[in-house]
Amino acid sequence: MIPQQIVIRPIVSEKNTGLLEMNKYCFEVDRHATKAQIKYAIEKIFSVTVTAVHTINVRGKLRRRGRAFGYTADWKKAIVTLDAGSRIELFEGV
Amino acid sequence: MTVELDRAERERSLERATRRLSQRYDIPGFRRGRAPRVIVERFVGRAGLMAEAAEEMVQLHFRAALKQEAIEPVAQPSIHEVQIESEPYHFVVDIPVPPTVELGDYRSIRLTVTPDVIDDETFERHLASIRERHVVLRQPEAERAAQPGDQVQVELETFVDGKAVDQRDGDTPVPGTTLVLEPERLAPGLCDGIVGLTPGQAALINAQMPPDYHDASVAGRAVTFAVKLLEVKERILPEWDELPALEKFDGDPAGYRDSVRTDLERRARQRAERTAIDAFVEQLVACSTVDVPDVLVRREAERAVARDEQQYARYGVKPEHVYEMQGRTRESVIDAALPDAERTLTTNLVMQQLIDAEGLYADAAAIERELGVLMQSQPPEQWQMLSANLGEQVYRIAASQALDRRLSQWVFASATEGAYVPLSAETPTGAEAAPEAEAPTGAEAAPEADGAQNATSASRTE
Repeated sequence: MIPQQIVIRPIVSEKNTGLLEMNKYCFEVDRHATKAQIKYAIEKIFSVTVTAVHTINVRGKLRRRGRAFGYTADWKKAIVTLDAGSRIELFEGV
Repeated sequence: MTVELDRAERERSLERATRRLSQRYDIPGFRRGRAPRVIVERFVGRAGLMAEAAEEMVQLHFRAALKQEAIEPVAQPSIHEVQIESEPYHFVVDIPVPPTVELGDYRSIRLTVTPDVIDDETFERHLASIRERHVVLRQPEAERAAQPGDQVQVELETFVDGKAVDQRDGDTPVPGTTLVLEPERLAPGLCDGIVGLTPGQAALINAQMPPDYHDASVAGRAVTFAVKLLEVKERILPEWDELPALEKFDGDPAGYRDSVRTDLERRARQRAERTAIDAFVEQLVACSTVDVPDVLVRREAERAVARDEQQYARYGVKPEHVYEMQGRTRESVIDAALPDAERTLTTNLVMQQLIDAEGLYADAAAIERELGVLMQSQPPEQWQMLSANLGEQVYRIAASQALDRRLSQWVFASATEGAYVPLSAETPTGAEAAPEAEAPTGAEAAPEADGAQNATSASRTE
């Protein structure tokens, strides 16, 4: 997988805004990507040094459409810790 | 006025704007009111955030600036050139301020009051016109030809070069006209041409109109009158000594003539005074400097148009129909009224300034005298109703009239250097002519004890 296939989108939310102070950034990543692949992809895309990667498999939520029930897609969230000298501009100002 | 804002003020406003916008919208990933500025800015756009902040800044700092500079706007200010994206942060606001009036050297204005002289000819003509009002028309006992002095009903058409002056459709009958057979009242030759005709008889009368004839379409031209006499009536004028009784004058004919002459002289003086006052006002305005904000002029024009519209409404006519018929819009009517509005406003302001500068006011006694006059002009049975229902309104009118009287006295005293005493300087006639039934005094008609002062000051500012 190429880096751009691994990292799907950055996640900007109220909770993640607090993490930025600890130089931690949150992304949605490919469900099958490993921590090593995520680290490699982030370093490649943003030219930063990743010191840690934590991942969470987020279960899809139960949704109802009339009488039919179903689930939204499962996805993987990655919280990436950068070293002290690295920053991702995409999140600047948040 | 240009209001400058410092960086800290701008930052605070932006923060508050961010908070408000974030409270207003659901931004994904954030609870309401919790999104940081950059997210809000991305969500609503930079222009949206700036507009929100600008509105608050303008409201806040505009009021503060007005207070600081002690400016009292007289109409809604307009704000433009809001610059908060880059330094210097500022906005410009146009504030209509009260008009400024600088009176010229009004004390040097000089007037001459020259009432028309009531000579015997004018007097006799006036008496004749009064007598004319009591004319009685009588059908002649036997059908006869028209004689000088008769009142006749005719069908009359005027032709110039064979063409009718008043165009009409072929089927429309010639309109009937009433004429008094006196040469000085009719076009030249017409009276002589009709005299001698009997009812039903028609005639063509050729006449040469004088060059200075009031109707320009026939002045100086040869005209033909096609006349058909329909009816003759004798005019019976009252005898001269019957006039006093007919005019409800309590006295003999000589006394009546004196009273008519006095009345004519009084009216001539009134006319001359009005002309003089108009001339004074014109000169006063010309020598004064008045700066009236456009917004006030427009408001005055709108008021004038609204007054006209009320008049239309009274006759059951919708103003929009009138404008449609005239091919105009309300806006264009207001635009057309602007010059008059400016003149009215300027004159009022100058006069008000003069009143203030000279400390002219109507005192309670003067207002009471005017109230007496006002009440005398109404039938006694209405005094109670007027006092009860229109007390304050009547009082204001009286106060305004008293001030007018005071002002005109001042104008004549100043502009004629006391050489002319106006009619208004004389005691109001109402006070002298109090009837047996007691007219209410000003105090009774006044709405309340302190009404005098209120009405006086109101009249000064109106």
